[in-house]
Amino acid sequence: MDNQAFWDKIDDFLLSRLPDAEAEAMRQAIDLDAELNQAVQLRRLEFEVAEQVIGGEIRARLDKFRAEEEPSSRKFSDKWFLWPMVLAALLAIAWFIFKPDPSSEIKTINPPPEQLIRDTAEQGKGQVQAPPTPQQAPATTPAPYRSIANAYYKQTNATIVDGLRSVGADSTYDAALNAWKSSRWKKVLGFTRKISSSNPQYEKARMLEGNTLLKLGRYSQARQLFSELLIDENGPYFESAQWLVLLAQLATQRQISPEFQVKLAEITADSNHVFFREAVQLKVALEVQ
Amino acid sequence: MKESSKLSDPQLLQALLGTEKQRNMAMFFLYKHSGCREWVLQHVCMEGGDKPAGEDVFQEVLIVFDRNIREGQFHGNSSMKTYFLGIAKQFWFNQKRRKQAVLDGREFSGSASADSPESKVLEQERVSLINQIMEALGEQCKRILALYKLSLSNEEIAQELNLSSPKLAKKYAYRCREKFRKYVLARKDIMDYLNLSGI
Repeated sequence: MDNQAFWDKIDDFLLSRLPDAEAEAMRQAIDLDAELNQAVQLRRLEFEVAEQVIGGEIRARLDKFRAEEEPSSRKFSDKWFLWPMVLAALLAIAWFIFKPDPSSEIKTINPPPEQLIRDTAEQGKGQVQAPPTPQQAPATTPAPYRSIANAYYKQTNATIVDGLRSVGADSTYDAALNAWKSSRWKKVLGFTRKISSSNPQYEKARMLEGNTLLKLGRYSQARQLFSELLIDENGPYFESAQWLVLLAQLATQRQISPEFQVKLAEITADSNHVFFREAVQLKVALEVQ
Repeated sequence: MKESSKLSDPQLLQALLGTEKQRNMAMFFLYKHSGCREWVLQHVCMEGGDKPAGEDVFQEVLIVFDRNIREGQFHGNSSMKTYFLGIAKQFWFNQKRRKQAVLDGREFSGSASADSPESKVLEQERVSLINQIMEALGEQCKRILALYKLSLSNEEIAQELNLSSPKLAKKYAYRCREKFRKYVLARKDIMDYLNLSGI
C-alpha cells in the first residue's frame, strides 16, 4: 500500500466510511500493530485540531454577520449630539487644506524636478513623477524601494553566501569564491560563467553569480537568474532563490505589484522558510510605507 | 450575499462541502434566511433561556451541524432544517440539564455520565492540549490542516492561501503535518493522553 492510500484508509476509518467488514478488520489490525495504532491516533488528534480551527472560523463568521446586521447609519443618527462636532471637525480640516501659504505658492509655480524626484524616492511611493525633460530621462530616476531591498539583502547576505562555501572540489569555483571574497565582482562573473551545468558546483556557481549581479546593481539579470533556480522546488537553494528574486524585483519596481505581493505571501505563509522572519519584517516595512 | 437568500437542501449541502466562499454563503443563509436562528432563539427563550443564550446555542449547533454534514452523518431522512433544529433541541436540553445539576448540587454525584467530574476533567485536558498544539502549529499550519479537513483539493487550497501552485500547497501541508507529528511525539503528556507512551 503506498503512503497516500495508507492515509486515505485511515481517514476513511476515522470518518466511518469503510464497510463494516473492513472497519472491523482495521480495528483488529490497530490492536495488533502499535505503529498503525499510533498513526490512527495522531490522525484523529489532527482532525480534532482542524475541527477546532474550523469551529473558530465559524464563530468569527457569525460575529461578522452580526456586526454587519447592525445598521450603522441608524446607530450614528441616534447619536445626534455628535453632528455639531463632526461639522466643526470638517470646517477645521477645510481651513487647513485651503488656507493661503505664500511659500507653497512659489513651490507650486516652479517645482524643481530633482526635488520632486528626491521627495518621491524618499517617500517610497513612486507615484508622483517629475515631468521628463531631454536632459533627464525617466530611466535615471532611482527606484523607490531599492534602498529597502539593499538593506534586506545586506541583512541576509551572510546567511546566503555562507551556504555557498567551497568544499574544495572544483578549482574554477574556488577561484570564483576567492574573487568574491576580495570583492572583484567582474572576476567572479568570469569564473562562474565558465562552470557548466554538468559540473556538480553548477547551482552554487549560479547562486554566487546572482549574488554578484546584485552587488553590481544588475537587478533584472539577477532576478532572471534566481527565477531559473526556482524550477526545482526541492533544490538546495530554492528558498534562498525565492527570497532573492523578491529582493531583486523590489529593487527595480516603482510600485508594489500584485505579483510581488503573491511572492512575498508565499514566504510569509511558511513559518519554516529560511527567510520567514525577514519576509515578515519586509511585509510590515512595506505596509508602514 | 443576495444569492444565498434561498437555497434548496441539495444546494445547501453542496455549498457546505464546497470552497470557503461557498461555505460562507451557506453559513450566511443559515444565519439570515433559513429561519433556523429565529427558531433556536425562540425555543431557548421559551425553555428557560434568554436571547444571548439562544445566540450561543445557535452558534455551537451550527458548528456541530456543519461537521456532521461534512462527515456524512446526515443521511437525508429529514430536511436539513429539521436536522438542524433537532440538534439544537438536544443541545439546549443537555445544557439546561447540566446547569440544573450544578444548581441542585448534583454535579459530583459520581455517575459515569458525560457530566461526571472525571469526564469534565478529561474534556478540559483535551481542550487544553488541543489549544497548546494549535499554538505550536502557528496560524498558517492551522489553516492548512483545516482546509484539508474541509476536503479541499490542493488547487483550491493554493487559491485560498494565494500560493502559486497546488504543488506548493501539498508541500506546505506535508511540512505542517510533520511539524504536528514531531510536536506531538515530543510531548509525553499528549502521548499519555493518547495512550501511546509505550510505542
